[in-house]
Amino acid sequence: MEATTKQLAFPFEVFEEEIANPMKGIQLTETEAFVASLLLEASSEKPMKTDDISKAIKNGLNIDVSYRELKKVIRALRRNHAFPILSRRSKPAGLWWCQSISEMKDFARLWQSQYYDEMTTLWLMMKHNYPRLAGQLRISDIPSRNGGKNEKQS
Amino acid sequence: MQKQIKTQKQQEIVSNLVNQFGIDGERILFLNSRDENDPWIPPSVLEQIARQMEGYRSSSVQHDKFIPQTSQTVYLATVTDSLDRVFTRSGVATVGEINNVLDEIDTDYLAMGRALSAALNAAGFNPVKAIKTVNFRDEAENERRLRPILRTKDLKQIHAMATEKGLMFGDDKTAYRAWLFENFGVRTAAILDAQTRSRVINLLRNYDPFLNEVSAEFREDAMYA
Repeated sequence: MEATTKQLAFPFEVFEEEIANPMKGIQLTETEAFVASLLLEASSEKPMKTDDISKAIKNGLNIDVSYRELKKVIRALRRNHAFPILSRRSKPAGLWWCQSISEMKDFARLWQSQYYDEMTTLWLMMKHNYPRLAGQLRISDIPSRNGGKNEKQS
Repeated sequence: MQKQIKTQKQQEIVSNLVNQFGIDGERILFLNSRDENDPWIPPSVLEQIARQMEGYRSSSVQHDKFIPQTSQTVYLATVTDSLDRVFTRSGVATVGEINNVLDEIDTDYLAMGRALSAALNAAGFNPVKAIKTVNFRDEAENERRLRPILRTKDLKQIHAMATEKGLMFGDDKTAYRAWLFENFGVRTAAILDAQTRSRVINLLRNYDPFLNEVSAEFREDAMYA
């Protein structure tokens, strides 16, 4: 049976480990450390909304962070430091540190379904438009030697 | 009764102690000629503060000796925390040391306060370090605002001190985690609140790898050598 017990100390251990020995030798920036530390108080049941995170950064660090910039910070935490910070668009929406394998699996399923959805959309767009864009002309489009267009041959 | 005139910084320290612990600020004095912002807190008030700090169990103060050659009186204070760890420190005062402050401060009382303060500090209960010194009306809101910053700052300080004391060697944090678990029941300081992290820092400051790791037999040999 898969372990679903929440490991409450897990996010704190990961955070402290990265403070002491950064994974890629890249120290957390002040904003990244602030956001990561702030999110330690969130959970799957009570995630933190991006608006609230931006407000907290303004109050704590006196820095204005746009939604786009905040997304970059979260991406850096995930990519450069491998912090398991999960997110959800449906209610309750927000971000939090992963605390169990089941949370990670649910998140992975959600991201996978988003990925497949986007890839499917891309494939449909490419299938319909790519040949034409790649220069595969219809015979009627080819100009004849005398200047007129050739008739379409069946 | 003569009152000590306090500087603005000293008044701020007293106000913060009063706001944090609900004590009588009039009884706090500044008697340290080497550090004018180091408060002397009466033993009874120190106990009042300590009882509000997590992990504190009990304390006692007793007279140790009087040294006639130097006219000094020595008191011993013992603090016991919730994990039954005992910390004993001494406090000394010289007869006639304080000659222009409150009449109620006699030599014995001064030495008692110093002994208890030293013992509480050794046990990780330092009331001055535990207070918040910013002037915000909503203390809870301010604490929430600064919590992420303080956590990172404290962790960096703890790691630096743990490395200095030999509990951390680069990536090897085995001894550090064991020390944390033994003293605070956790394997990461990040999960502790600000007050407990302050105790971690205090304990690390007073941690002596030689005294704590070397057996009594070897220590005695080293002393004779």
